[in-house]
Amino acid sequence: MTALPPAVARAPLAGAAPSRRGRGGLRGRAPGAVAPYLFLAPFLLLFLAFQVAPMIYALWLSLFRERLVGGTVFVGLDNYADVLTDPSLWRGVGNMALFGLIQVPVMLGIALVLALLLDSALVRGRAFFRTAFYLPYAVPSVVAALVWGYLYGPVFGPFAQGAEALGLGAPNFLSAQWMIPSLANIVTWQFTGYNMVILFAALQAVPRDLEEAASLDGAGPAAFAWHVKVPLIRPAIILCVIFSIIGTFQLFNEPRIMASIAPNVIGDDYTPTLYAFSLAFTSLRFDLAAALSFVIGLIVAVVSYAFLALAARAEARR
Amino acid sequence: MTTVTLEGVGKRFGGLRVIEGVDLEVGSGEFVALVGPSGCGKSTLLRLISGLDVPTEGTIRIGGEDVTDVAPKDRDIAMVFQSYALYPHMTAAENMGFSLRLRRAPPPEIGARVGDAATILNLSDYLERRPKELSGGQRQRVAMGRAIVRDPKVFLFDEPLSNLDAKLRVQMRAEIKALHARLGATTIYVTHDQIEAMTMGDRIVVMQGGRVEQAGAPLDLYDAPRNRFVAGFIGSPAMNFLSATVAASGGALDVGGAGSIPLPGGASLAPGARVTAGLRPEHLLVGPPGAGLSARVEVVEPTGAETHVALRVGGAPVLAVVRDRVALAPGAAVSLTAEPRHLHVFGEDGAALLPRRPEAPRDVLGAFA
Amino acid sequence: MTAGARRGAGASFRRSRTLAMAAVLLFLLYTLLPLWYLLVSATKTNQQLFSSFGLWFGGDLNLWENLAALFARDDGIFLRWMLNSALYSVLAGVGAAAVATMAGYALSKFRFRGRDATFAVIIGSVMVPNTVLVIPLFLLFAGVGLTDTWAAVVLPSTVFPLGVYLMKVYIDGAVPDELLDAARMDGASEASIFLTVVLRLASPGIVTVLLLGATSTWNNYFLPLVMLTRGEALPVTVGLAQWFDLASAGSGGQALFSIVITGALVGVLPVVALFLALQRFWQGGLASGAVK
Repeated sequence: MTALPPAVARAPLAGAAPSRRGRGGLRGRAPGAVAPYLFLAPFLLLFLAFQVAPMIYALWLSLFRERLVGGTVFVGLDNYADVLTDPSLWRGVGNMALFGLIQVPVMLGIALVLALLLDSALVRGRAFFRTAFYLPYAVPSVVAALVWGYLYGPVFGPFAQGAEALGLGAPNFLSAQWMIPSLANIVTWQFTGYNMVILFAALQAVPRDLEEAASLDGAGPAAFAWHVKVPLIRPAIILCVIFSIIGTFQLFNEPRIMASIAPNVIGDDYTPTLYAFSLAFTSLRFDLAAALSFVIGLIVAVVSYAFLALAARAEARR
Repeated sequence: MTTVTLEGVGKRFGGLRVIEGVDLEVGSGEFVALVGPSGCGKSTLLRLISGLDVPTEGTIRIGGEDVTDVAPKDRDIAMVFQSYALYPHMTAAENMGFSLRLRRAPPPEIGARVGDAATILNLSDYLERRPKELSGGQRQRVAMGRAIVRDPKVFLFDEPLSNLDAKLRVQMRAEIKALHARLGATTIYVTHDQIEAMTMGDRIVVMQGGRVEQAGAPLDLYDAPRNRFVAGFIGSPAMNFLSATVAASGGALDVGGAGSIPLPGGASLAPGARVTAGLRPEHLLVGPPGAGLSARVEVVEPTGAETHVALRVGGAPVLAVVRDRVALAPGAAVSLTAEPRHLHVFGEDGAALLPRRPEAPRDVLGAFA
Repeated sequence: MTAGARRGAGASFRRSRTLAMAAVLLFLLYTLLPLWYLLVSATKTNQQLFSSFGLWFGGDLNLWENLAALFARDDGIFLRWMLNSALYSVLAGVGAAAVATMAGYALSKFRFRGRDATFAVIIGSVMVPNTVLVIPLFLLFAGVGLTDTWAAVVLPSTVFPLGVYLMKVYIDGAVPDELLDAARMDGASEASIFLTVVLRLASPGIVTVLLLGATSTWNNYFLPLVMLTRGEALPVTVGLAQWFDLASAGSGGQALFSIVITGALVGVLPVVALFLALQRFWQGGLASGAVK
């Protein structure tokens, strides 16, 4: 390549593409300097107003208590102490832990198997199944809970009806020992498809030539799924677990609907969030409810980060 | 005896015919290069041999056994992919040992075989690294290591060097060739680069449009291409082609007003027939105007050891490669001659018209003083 | 699709395929069971609910009667609830999509101080459980006397950090930097660049976030339950739950069962229809981008 004639090289390059901050030469001002903040502003304002401010306000409220005599008094961490020593809280946490330990692995296991099946060449009409399986996620959890409530019921429920017709006894899905599995089923019904879609999308990103190389190495579809596909979608699996843990500790809608038809089983403190709700609106102890909300958030954070740390350590040890 | 035999192999994808009527014999321990332009079907043919795709017609035999319907993993072959296809989450050692792990071989054996392959390929220091921590050349070697560890009957290579830079490519070419010499396994190697094919193959198979154009030893293809396509594909810089008609005498070719070239001794063709004359750049001799083809020099490019001279013969572009520096200026009128034995003639259908004998190598050490 | 999976020893492949299809069809049955039950039950009167088998129709179909009863109950409040749900969802969905697109654009295509910090905060806030915020939100709104308004339900629902992340990832891929630079060189203002270039190129992503925001608001129960007390302001989720509670409490609430189940069907239809109709906008890729 011959060099540019000196005259051309020396002349200023007119109309050069400006950097985002601009050289100020185009229109007399730097174009990009303020714009990002303006675009970000609506979200930040809403975020501050409706995620940060409530937390600060609740924190403030949690440090006070209303007394019949003396009005509102600063009590420091007393509310937190009360909450943390309240057996109702730990009963709820216990329920949720039990619930989570059963429900999350089962749901994600099914979701993973379905995702792998859809991703393999074995299943036809995968677009249809993907849409169909995702459908329950679109259904309001209130509706899901009440429909399953009908299904579980001894009167309207086809399982009970069917069992009766066969002369067998059907389990009482709404009894105390069955409640956790029954609730677990509702949540599984709702969210398996959602998780499956996330895992399926991650599987799609696995390069196709890996499967060919593996088939030459002697791996059939099952061995390939186990040795290659699943390890490669680890980040997606971890994401699903985290979301599921968060969801588990938030459980409110489904138990509350179930409370209508099984009031003896689902007390006010069946889950931590139900307890917070009753503290606020039944006992009208907003200070305790505020403190409890923080405590729940903290528990969720602790469990999530513990899981992430475990996952990271397992990865590092490989 | 691990021969590979293809009989009448064809492949259609729906209405599209991709491979047609391929017959091929690869001898035990032979290194065969499959070469051709993009879309000629060479990679598809390799995939048929590997079992990743199934032919629509014909049979494929490996070691004498019909494997046309046998799954890839049961054919006892290994393949090195263009993209290497290394498992990203496994170390180099785990990648190489994967097939053995699947077969539940005892860990000491896996370690030993992986270690041996790593030594051969100079990978011993990199065994614990993941693919993303390795350079292109190292990843390529891991892919080869994965194939070696399997100790297969046949090695298949699918353009393994295309993703490497030029210098590394030259180095890896030599390494692969050395590896073949050492292991002595039957190898089928696909490339679009004819230099790679020429330097590496015991035999070359040139493909175009799903068919085999010619198969033979590299120099045979160079000296005696069976048709115009092979003649133009093999050899770099490419052969020059000039339209010509057979002279009335039948013993020479008239090249559109620029002169005539005599046919090699004894050969004669139908007078008046329209043909294509082929002359390789390195066979052209440039001299003062006179006998031969008259030409005008356009560009002179000295490259150090040689000089590339771009000329026009009656309007058609011709390249000559001459040894040493020459005192030629653009615009000069010259004449081009060549030894008659270096002339190729192709008919209107592209087939070579003159019988050819491969050149005997020069006896530099030999008998004559 | 590898040949190895396609053929191989034909019988074993066919067996795997049968097993796979069986498993998938089984799960399909499980998925559709409650929805089928919902459909079938909405055609039954209370009598039929008690007397006929849950999973099949009970003689004659009484869907229209149930619908009439549904919309007649309590002076037609159900229709009001549906309209409320629609209003809240549309407002929240549009609001969330607009805000998320702007924020995602800023994070994707600009370099500014605090960008990484903002991004980290947004990712982090995705992990905050929404229900933890509800009671503090109520306390805040109660403090300024704004509970029982549409704003109490809509405004918090427009904060959608996951939506911001999704838009950022989508705009990364869908809007080439060169296009923006070219527009700036042509003298376009940032606002018009955003409105004409970015919105058009990112529209599938925008629609997806809108859809996600709208359905999540339609399906929300806890927030409106806490914020709203007036019957006329309730969305369908809260209203239905109230009726369900009444029905289950017995003593005269019995007749309500068929209304509740019909209401459940009607309450589900808009969301499901929306979801199906907008399938082509669903970006599976958005989800995989989120995974990275």
